[in-house]
Amino acid sequence: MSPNLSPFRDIGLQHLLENGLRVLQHQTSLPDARRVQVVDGLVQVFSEADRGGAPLRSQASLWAASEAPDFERFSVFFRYIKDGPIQGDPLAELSEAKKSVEALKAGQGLDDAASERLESLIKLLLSGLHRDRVAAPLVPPMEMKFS
Amino acid sequence: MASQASLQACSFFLARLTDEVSRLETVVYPGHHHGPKKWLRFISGVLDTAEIYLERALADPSAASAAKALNDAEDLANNAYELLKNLSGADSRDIPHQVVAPFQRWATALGISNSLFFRAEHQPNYELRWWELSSWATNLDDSALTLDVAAKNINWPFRRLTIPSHAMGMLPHFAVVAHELGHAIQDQIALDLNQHQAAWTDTINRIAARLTTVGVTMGAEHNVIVGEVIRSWINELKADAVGLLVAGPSFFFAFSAFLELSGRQYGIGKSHPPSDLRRHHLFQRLEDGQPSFINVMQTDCGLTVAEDLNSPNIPACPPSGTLFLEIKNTLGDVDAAIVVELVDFARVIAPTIFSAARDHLTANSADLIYKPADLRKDISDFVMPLCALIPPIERRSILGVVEPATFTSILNVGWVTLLAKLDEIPVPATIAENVIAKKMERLHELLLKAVELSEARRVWEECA
Repeated sequence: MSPNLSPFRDIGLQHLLENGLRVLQHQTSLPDARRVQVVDGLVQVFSEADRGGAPLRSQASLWAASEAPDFERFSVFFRYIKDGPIQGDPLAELSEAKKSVEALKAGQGLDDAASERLESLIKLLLSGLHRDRVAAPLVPPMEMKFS
Repeated sequence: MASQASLQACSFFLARLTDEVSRLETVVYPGHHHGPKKWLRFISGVLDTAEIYLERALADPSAASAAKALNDAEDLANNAYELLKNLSGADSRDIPHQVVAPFQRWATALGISNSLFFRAEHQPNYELRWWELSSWATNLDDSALTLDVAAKNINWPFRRLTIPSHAMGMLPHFAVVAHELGHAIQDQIALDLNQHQAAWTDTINRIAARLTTVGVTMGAEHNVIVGEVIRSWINELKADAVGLLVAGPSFFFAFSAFLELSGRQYGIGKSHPPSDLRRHHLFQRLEDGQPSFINVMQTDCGLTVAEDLNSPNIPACPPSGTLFLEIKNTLGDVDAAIVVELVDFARVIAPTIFSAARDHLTANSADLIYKPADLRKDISDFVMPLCALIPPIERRSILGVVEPATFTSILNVGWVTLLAKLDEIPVPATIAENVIAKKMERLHELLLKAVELSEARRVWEECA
């Protein structure tokens, strides 16, 4: 039971992440109002993913329920990060990303290292979305055969 | 750069989708329910946004940004197509229009204020699906105003309730809908499993040991799967609890009948705990209290209820070792190892989950809880008249006030009659073939009439 569109078909998420890169790269083509909206959106998705992964920080409480969208957001991001070149712990990466976008929202600048780390993560997520898109098989033909 | 041919193709795709949405907006949906119209307006807004992207690509096809604008338009059109597909069956005549208002009443009484629509499909499937697309719409670049307005007019997450079509659409079976609505409030049911920490630790150890037997060392990725599975199972058990609390024995019978008719499998998987475990737990809850539901059915209408009364062929899950061997080819080694070792934990926590659901309903929707005393009254007031073809529409209280029968009462009276009194439902003497099916059809029609007229009376009283 998936509550949303398949992640790789989620153009809203794709636009959000692409715009996130524009924010980090200080591109001026993004209007201020949209920039605020984008940063709010990034805070939302990284907060969801961070909350969704919380029960996994301790194996002792894996059963702890988190809100459905949080866990699903986390599952998708976790998969993209795990399969990518980032060497760190995916849970820590998501926590760090959440802190960074919260800092952006609060109007604080990110140091170069934090900015590069967030940019790498966003690129990784975008490439994960792209990989899922191109790897998605066509709908298989149905065949019914009783023998 | 965007090619002329691909621009034309996208343009045609969008135009056809827009036509289809316009056509569907003229349909009258069962019960005049407004949910499908809200869904269609949202899709319409998605198409308008895609049109904006397409126009941008058409304005200068040779621009570097044209290809991306076209791709985004194509993707949004595909999103719209996918969203439209989800409406399939909502206009079906297989949804008896009479049940839409009672379903909506259940939802409202459970505190579910989300936008909702109903649909039927030709499958043995009850399902509550939902979409949370408000932020999706906000995140889109340059979304159409129509999309923004449509998104704001929806109480997200938008929910869709699926019921099986005509062939499995006998009224008493619709008690399963109470389970599906339970999924809508599952996250509100506060659950404290700390008392089961030792059992959980033991479960994790057994999963790790089982994984070792197939050469896998338990790591973070397995914890994610364990988290997903136990979360899904807890949600199923919460929804079962809500189903039983709201619909009483009618849920137990409808659930059991559904499992029997739809495949007779173990039912265990990443999304669901074993069916026999769920049925056993529900049966135990029917035995709770004095008198229990089981007592009332025995003493008041002579119905002896065994756990497998209407589901004798649901297979019992074997011990974990055997079960693992039986399901590993279907689920794969890792998933099979995890689910078989979670069964005992699910059995241990089921009563705690039921208590949590009962506490939640008691605090928030106490009037909705169906009790053995309610069943006793329903049997007394409605079963014999029903056998004389008088539908259970209303009853007179001891104060002389006439009250419409509740949907839950009608479902329970339906099941009691189906299981204990079907012989007494008369059919015309001219009918010689398929007599049992004809009696059931007649019972269904009487119950449906009761649902319609009791609802009409309730609406009339609300308007008075």
